[in-house]
Amino acid sequence: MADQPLKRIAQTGSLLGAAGVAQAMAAEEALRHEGAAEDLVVAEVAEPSEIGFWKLAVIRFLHHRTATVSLGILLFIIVTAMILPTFQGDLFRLQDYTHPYGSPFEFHSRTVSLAGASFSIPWTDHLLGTDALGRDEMARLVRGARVSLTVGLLAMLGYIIIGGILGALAGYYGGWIDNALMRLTDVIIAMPFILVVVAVTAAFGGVSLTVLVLVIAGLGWFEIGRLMRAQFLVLRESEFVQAARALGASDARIIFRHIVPNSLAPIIVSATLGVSGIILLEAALGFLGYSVPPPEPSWGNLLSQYEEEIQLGKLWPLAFPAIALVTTALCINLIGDGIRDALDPRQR
Amino acid sequence: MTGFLVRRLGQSVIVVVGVTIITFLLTRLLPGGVARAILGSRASPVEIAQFNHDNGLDLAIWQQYLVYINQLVHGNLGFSYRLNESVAGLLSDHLPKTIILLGISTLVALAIAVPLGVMQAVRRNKIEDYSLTTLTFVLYSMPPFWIALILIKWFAINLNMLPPQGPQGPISTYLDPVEASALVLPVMALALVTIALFSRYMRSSMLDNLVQDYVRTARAKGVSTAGVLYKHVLRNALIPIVTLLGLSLPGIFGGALITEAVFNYPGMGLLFWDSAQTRDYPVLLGVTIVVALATVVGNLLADFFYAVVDPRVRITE
Repeated sequence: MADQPLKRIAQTGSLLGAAGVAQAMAAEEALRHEGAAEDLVVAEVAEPSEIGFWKLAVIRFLHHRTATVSLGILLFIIVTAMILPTFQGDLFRLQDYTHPYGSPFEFHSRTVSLAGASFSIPWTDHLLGTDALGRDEMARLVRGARVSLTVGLLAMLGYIIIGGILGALAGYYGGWIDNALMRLTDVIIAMPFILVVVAVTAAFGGVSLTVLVLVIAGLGWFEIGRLMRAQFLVLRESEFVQAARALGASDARIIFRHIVPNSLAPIIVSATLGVSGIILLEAALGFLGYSVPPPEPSWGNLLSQYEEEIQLGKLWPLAFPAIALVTTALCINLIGDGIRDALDPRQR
Repeated sequence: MTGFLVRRLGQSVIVVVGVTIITFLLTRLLPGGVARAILGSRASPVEIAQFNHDNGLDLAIWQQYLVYINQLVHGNLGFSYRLNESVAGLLSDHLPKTIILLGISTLVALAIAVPLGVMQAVRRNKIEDYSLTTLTFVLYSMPPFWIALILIKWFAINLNMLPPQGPQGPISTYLDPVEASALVLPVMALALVTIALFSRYMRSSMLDNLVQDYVRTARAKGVSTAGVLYKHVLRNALIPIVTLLGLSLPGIFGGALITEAVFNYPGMGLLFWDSAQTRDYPVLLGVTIVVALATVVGNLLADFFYAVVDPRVRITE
């Protein structure tokens, strides 16, 4: 911007002769100062961005109230699912033969003696009641959270590994690699997800957690893969990547130092939202009887008893896992929404 | 345009071949094998060898695949040993029922979701938008089978208004009031999930289009607000929904599987579920291929539609 006036001064200087040149030089100097002042102003404006993209995103996320509250609730669920079952041990499969079909919140008074004095407090052995076999619903619900959350997180890790690598390869190298990988993606998209999971798990007989995670990850990675490819296609042509290439950076350096950090934002959003999808999928599979085998509970397994419960007119045993499931999925979706707003404020 | 059509068709053929290879390998390479699944765990090795020989299962895997493809091209999808019926025959019974269920519920979902999405975009960040966003988020976070169960509990058990299971008779009886009322709950269950997805997309698609330059131009020309909204923005905003329809076909089929299982609706999903319980591989393979074919064709149609209405696609592709 400052170049043009300088050029003009230089031209007029040559026309004006020696005295004019000196004058022009002074004017030029003045302009330089002005330019410097301008540069200084620009630098001052740019200063807030020194906080950095990720830090700024965290700040924006924390200002998003629903997302922060959802994160709190989700953390509570995760911590409960991690800690509580270790204290309860085998409670999730122990049968209380005297109390099958126990209703939830049935309190009776119980005397407790504390420091010589005895108190009568409301007490219940099974806070959320018991199922048809007399197993504690609370313990099963909390234990089931483990399976649901583990499947959700591990399968998403699988999505990111498979989809990330394949998408990056397709986007960066293009050509026949891109073509081959995109056709593979089309094939996997065309395969009906639940149908294939049911077919494979049916064929394996009993389903283990590992099989479940592998099957889901092997079939669901394409969304992350497509996103990654799209990111790489755009960023590959961007100026900073061209600059890095001109400086002689290797492919690996360009990919990991330059493209990957810049491509993460949409991947993170999609991955977050995807976890709730996987948890719901696991529930659907458990509901159909293709999740982890009994007596291990998962939220889907707990819900698969529906026919009996509805006939008995008791919906309580169904309500708790369903509430847990919907709450978790909803929290994850809201967190994902918050992250999207935080990472890309334009998309609001 | 012709180049685009030919290229897209070629890609679809490759995808279909890929789908048949994967589904074929899935059923052939699985532990136990077909013979074991059909003859049962007590079958002797001699019987298994005989069965394999009779059914061409002792050939090399690529030879089996070629035989299978040859059969497939001639319209033979295989034979269900459990149900003692050809897979094509089974599908011709069950597929139309699934198509009716999916068709009606998708139409219902679109009829509700499109106006909802438009309303949310127009009343953006107002109370209507917030409450509808909350509702769609909750619906979207609900497992489909749970929605189905709630519907059964409310409308079939508590209110005793509608039958708890889908229509059981042939399609010709669907216009009968009793059978038609049985169709209401399955359609509602499927539509509610789809409404949440479609209205969300509709909202963001409308928002994307509302800020475009052509909206300002139209306003500057003196077109009324309603005119801009319905003649310009809505038309453009509907385009991505068509692609979404094509892409969400497999997901909708997955939802149909669960809905049909809950409502005992004798469509393709229930057929698939029963076959999975009994490990009836030919049926599993047949249903998977039919659904995959439907998805490929659906995506192809969506792409063609896209290319017709939006010339930019033809150039950039």
